Amino acid sequence: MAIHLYCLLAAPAESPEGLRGLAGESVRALAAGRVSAWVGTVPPGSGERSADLARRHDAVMRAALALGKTPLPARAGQRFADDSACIVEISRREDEILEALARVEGCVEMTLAFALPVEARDAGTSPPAPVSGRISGSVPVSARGAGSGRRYLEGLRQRLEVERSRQAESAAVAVQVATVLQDLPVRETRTGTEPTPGRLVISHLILRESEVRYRSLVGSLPAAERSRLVIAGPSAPYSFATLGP
Amino acid sequence: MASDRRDALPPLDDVDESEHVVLSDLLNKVFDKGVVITGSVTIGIADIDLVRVSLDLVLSSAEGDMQRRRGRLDQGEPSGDPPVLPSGRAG
Repeated sequence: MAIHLYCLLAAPAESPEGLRGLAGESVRALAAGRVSAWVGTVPPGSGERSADLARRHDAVMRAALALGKTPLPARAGQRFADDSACIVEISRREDEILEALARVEGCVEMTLAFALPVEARDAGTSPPAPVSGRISGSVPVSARGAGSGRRYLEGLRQRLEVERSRQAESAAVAVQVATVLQDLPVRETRTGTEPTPGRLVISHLILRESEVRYRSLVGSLPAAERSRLVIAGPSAPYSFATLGP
Repeated sequence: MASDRRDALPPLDDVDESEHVVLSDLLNKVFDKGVVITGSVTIGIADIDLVRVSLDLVLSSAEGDMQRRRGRLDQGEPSGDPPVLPSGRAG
């Protein structure tokens, strides 16, 4: 058996009543100094990376949020031999954990995912198309008859142009989001086109009580942006759960 | 011009697309974000170490791709694909 770490909370945090974890085990609070960890005792083979594990891990965060607490989510997959090993690791980083908990206290995470234009997303994954014309305005070429080196460089150039196009699109969308939300978000993180090609993901840390206003402001984005937007949340502040400054 | 731009967008009013995005977001968050206090995270697929599984997949994919390319060249098909390493049958 192993100890699966779900999340961290400021102590004291009582054990969540009746809450089951990813293996159906009871989730319990483990005291580690000024920090409380919600953990479960699970079989060694229960850590397979899957959508189901993600949902069950996240269900524990949602339970904490439902109790009015803001948990500091642990990245799924952290296992310890026993309670003592878990307490030792948490105690070793107690100050950093408490700082991180203070940063997210009273907040939730909202996520905006914008689709970028189709032609940009598809072009990045398709083989380079035959190209005729000039490169840099100097050398006339026909890629069909060109060597493999030329085709390779053409492919690289095409991918670079697509990436630049995505970055420009992402920057424009981000400016519009910042304009409508103004100072509502406490913090923001932005994922570029990687690791989600063709999609701009912006996560905001907001106060719990600001969710309705947040959604209302996002709803005031231009129709063209709203039509390609998916809103996720509120969730535990995964994107803001980092240790250190 | 705005209408041209919208015509190029994917059909995000599709419910499945929304669910896909939300699930992708959840997977990204749970497995790639959140506090790491142990210095390492171990998650496997069916009790097999993840790094080993990833490497096996790459090797298998590369070998399969090479075999397919050899088959096309043997049939005399011109290939517009990127160059492949010389096979044992070359020449």
